[in-house]
Amino acid sequence: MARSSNRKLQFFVNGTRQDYNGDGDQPLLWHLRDQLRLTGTKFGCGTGLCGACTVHVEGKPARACVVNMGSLAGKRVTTVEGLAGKDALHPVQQAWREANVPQCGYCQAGQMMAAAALVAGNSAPDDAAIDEALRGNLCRCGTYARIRVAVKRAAELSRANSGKSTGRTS
Amino acid sequence: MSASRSSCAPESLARREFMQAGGALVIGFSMQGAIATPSAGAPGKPAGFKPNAWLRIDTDGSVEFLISKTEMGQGTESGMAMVLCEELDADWARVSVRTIQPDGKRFMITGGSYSIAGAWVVGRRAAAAARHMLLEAGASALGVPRAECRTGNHAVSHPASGRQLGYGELVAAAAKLSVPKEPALKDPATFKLVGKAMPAKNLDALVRAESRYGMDIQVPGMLYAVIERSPVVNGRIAHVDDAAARQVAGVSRVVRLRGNTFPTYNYVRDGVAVVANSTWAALKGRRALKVSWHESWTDGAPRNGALASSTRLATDFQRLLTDPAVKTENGLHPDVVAVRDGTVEGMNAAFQSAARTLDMFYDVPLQAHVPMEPMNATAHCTDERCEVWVPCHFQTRLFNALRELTGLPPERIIIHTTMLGGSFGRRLDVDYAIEAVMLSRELAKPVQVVWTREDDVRCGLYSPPSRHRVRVALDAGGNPLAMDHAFAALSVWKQQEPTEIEPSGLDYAAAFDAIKFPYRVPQRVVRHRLVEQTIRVFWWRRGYTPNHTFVNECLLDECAHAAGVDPLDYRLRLLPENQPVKFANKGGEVEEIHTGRLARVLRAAADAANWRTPLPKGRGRGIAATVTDTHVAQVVEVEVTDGRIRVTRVVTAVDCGIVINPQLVKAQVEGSVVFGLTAALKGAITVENGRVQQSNFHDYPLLAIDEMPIIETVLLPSTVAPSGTGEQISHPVAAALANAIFAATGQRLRGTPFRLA
Repeated sequence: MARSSNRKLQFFVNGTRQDYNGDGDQPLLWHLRDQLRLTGTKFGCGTGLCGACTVHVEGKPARACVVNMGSLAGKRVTTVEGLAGKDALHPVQQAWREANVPQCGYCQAGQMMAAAALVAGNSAPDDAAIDEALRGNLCRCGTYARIRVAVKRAAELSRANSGKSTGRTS
Repeated sequence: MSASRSSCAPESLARREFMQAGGALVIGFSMQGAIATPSAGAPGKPAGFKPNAWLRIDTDGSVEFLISKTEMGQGTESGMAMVLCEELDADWARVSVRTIQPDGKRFMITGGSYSIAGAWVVGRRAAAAARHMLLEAGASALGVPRAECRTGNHAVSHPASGRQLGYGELVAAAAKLSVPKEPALKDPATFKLVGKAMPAKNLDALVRAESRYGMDIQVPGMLYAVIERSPVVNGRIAHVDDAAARQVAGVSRVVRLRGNTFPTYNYVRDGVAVVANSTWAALKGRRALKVSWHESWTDGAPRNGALASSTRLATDFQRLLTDPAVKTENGLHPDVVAVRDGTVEGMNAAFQSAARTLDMFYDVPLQAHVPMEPMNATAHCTDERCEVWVPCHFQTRLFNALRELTGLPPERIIIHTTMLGGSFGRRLDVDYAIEAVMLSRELAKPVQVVWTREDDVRCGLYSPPSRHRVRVALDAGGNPLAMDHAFAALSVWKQQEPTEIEPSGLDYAAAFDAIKFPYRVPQRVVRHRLVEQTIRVFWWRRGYTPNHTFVNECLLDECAHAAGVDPLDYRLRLLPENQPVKFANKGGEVEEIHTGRLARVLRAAADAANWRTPLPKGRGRGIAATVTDTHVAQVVEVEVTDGRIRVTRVVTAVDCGIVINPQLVKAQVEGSVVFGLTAALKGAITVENGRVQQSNFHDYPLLAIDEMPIIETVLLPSTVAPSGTGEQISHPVAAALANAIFAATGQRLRGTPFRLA
């Protein structure tokens, strides 16, 4: 039961190679937060139900609380800290700011990561696409109305920027 | 208000916050005393004046507001700063806000949606005093009469000569002047900042995900811990087998924590802490832990945690409201009378002569707060010193608890308030921080205690459940002659602060929002009976306001339909015309509903929602209103197809006095609508054998983006003092929705969460 499942592997976080030598069962969430000190990714439920820990694995949204470190050999992970370039804001962050989305803000890194993945694959998401992509990201402050506005605006900004590099999305 | 120059700033503040005060101008003021203290109980309230907020202007011109209020997403920092910045004629870009550290001398709580109202009353006066002092210093420095000078844009100017001096240059001289006692305030008609849609001060940090919440704190040498708590209230550890837990890589200690006994003010469960070098190791260790519990060690039901049961609670409520074996008034239980308009005889006569009587039962279940950031606290406690980093908004409560726990003098207790990932009332209790300090003392090391979502849902505190019986006597025209509202409830005060209960047994916190009913009913009584059980209840977007708003606003709708009158017209007809109606709360405090303002929001919401335009079959509108200083009315539109309830539109009209920041008020409206809909449509907490039966978002779901209605907000112009919008707006949602469902289907739902037959 308490047997350790130690794993050695390499993976990439926000473009930087990371050597991992530890419990393969450890969820990515806790490695990011406790060991890499990337605390933008939040703990909300621990079981993939709330989306507060959403990151990108190989460019696709994933719940860091249910992705085990053992599954990440060679994989590219993007967290909210790596969403934009150093000083710039990602179009999603720009749109989030324009629409004054966050209240307490705790779930918003996850919301923005889910939105960034959506916008990367869909240049003009409609309401149904937004519902589909974000229904798993809960917000107790109830910022959903502004999230919807901001996702559409982020898509607009991304289209305007297309051709220019606005930061990594995977 | 009193004021102090930096040289005579309060001693502990001077040390902790103003080491570098130099020639700065500092004015202190007290945020409570100006207005009613929130109903969230407040033992240890200091007597007499102690400033708990300061404004400080430095020689470089920077302005800092130190406030005792806590930001948790409600925009209080920005809203308060806008009020002070406006009155000071300061430059918004040079204004910053910081939350003070509690020191035991000043009362520190954020709750009850009172922050903005308090800033308006006392904060403005402090800012005006500073502005007058700067004006005086400026006039003197420019060598011109004060009457020829103006303040504006962070400077004192002399328009006749075109000269001006910045605030920073004037601070040293201004700080030597005496503080005006009754400084003239700016005319709101001249406001430039207040009333503008401004982004929150912390918006940039939030979109960059750089805000530091409690869980983001990392202290050098810090350990991580999770706690296996007694599954029932008042359970005691029987046996611990920690052999497997200790085998888990990274686990360093397994520590028994002895809690105390419910009911008490700061209840903490018994638990076994697994301490490790990472959160994951602690979680894995806890999974390997085997603990058995004594669940029924104490004397009788009120303390026996294993007996707690929602089923038993429902039975108790029903018995108290209906048991014919108990001698009754009008066939109801003779419980504590909270208010009576008219007489017993008058009420009996009204029921006898009524053309029609209604007899309704309403139910409000337990609800969890589930803020997105689970409970957590980081503590470093030694024999000399106790330092805590905590997402908390009742710092005085924690401070007092830690003094008692550690025995340390006040200056050795340091509480850092982090950003809060929501609260909704939950973090007015400080159990999670006490646990962290208990554990850190045991370890003599810094430790972060994290609650999982399961811990939060199962071991928390919940909104107070209640069952209500309302009997109404209507005359031939459908107008109420008499109304008898009896309710049974669990009592927050009985559990935590029994001395707050009146000698008569009246619990004002539980009853006040039933007392507060402005509609004309000649014979009216409200009474309650409090039930004791080992289910911990607590403030939840206030305490009982959601419950009573649901009941009051549904029963009005039922009466309107019985009378054959449109529910909006019925309300307007029963409201006394354009006048303040006053209701006495605990300690002689008076709250007011202004019927003119209430009628105005009702009409505004109805107009914006096309109330008079009929809807097709299967769709319906419902209206409801509530007043806690701020007057709010809501129209909910619903579509019911194949037994599925879909809320399509929610229109809210708000009169919160002068609107400081319409952007933030609208954010509060949008959020409150979602909060109210979650309560009305989603889960409820249930307890059996002392165990909460839900554990995470799969069985305690929240409204998601794909269930969102269109939300529209009408902010009504006003010239009266601002009032809060933090929670009031969530209160009418359930009633408006129940009334809409009735309009759409003819089904009257009297309990949340709503389930169609």
